[in-house]
Amino acid sequence: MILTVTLNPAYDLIYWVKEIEQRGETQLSRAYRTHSSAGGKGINVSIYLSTVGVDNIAMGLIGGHTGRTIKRSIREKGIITNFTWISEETRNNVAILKKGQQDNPIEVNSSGPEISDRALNQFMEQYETMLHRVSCVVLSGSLPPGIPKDIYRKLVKKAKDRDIRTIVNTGGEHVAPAAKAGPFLIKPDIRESKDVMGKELTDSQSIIDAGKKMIDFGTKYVLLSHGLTGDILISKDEIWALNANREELTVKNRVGAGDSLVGGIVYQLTEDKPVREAVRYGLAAGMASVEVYEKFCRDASLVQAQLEEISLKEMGDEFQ
Amino acid sequence: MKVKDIMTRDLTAVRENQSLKALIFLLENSELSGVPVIDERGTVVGFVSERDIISAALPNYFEMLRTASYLPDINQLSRRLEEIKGDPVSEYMSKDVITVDEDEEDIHVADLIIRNELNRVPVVDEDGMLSGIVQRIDLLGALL
Repeated sequence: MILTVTLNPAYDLIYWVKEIEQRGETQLSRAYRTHSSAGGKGINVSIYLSTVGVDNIAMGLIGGHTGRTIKRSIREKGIITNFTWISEETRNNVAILKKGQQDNPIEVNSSGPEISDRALNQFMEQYETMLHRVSCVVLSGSLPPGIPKDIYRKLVKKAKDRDIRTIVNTGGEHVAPAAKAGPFLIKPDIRESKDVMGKELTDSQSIIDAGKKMIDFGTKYVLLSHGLTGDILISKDEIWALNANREELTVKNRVGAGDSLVGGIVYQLTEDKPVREAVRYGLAAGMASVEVYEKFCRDASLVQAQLEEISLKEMGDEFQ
Repeated sequence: MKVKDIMTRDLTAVRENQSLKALIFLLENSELSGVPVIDERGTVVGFVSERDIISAALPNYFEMLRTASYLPDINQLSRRLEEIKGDPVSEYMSKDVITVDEDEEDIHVADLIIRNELNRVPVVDEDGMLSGIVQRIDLLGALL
């Protein structure tokens, strides 16, 4: 059983527009396509896992009407729910994808509701109870106000103490504390900032240097993406480059692509695949999701087609 | 049809040591009338509902309802709730909780619900850990 944790869930609203025009005193656009769904990175991983038939529990902090909508929505997908209720309303996130520029969406994310100590303590108690029944924990996404910045370190440690595998997907200042707890795999989210562990990711060497720093802290695997079609997987002894033999993707919606990647990895690990093969599959799942309008590609044949395009190559000593 | 085909896979529950105030917050926000009580491993050890809270605050209320059609004093309920809000759930929960497992037939659960006048029955796995809930409405929905 897999447990996903989303401390800052959202209800995602995605709009596809042709143009944003100035109309009088307002910039206005009519969406030619819309999509709304429960979101937040961990919940996205849960939804992905449910599409491939992997049993999983979704945890996190939800509140108000939006929280109830999220809970109902993911329960209908067969996901087991165990949320902690908060007094404040859960946030909405908006993405606007302009025709011809879908690979560069406008994303408006609110920071999320303030979390009280009471809610956090309640969540921690529920988290520890859930650790009695899972084999892998996925910790994903941003943190709402009120949550300590080192929360992922604590959550990883509690899982590790029970010999439970942890996968962390977060960005910015939350990466280093998580890495220091030594998760099984960490995938820094570099959409907002390419600064990881104090290093600006500009080329393969800088990616590897940042990854090695996390490995030194005790993280087993670090996965760093460069673009939508390439990843570098770093462990203590090996560095693998994954690259798609495609120049460009036909981007329809890149919201959720990173979560498809993480979901694909978790799915393959539950099938006892080696980590590098799981990551290769994850990259294929992420690429396939970009080429469909929904957050996730439900067509296994499209993922398989992407998989066949991805090469896996061990990087030479010059990068060690 | 089996329980696993109709159950709601939601693990919303309280721990024995949580306060009545925390329970009321949970019931209000999750829009549930009652929840299983679990221990630190997730094993079901009881069930607690709105009715248990009202009985705790006004011990004779349900008996009074048989002879009168109004709440005698809303302030009395409020005062009493204030007094007991910090008490642990364990003091007010039903300890002889009725549970079912996922492989039981729906007709068996329907029988349990009708006989015992229940709204919700916790579903447990082979170790007694909470795996979901069957609600009266789940059964009615399955019958349609």
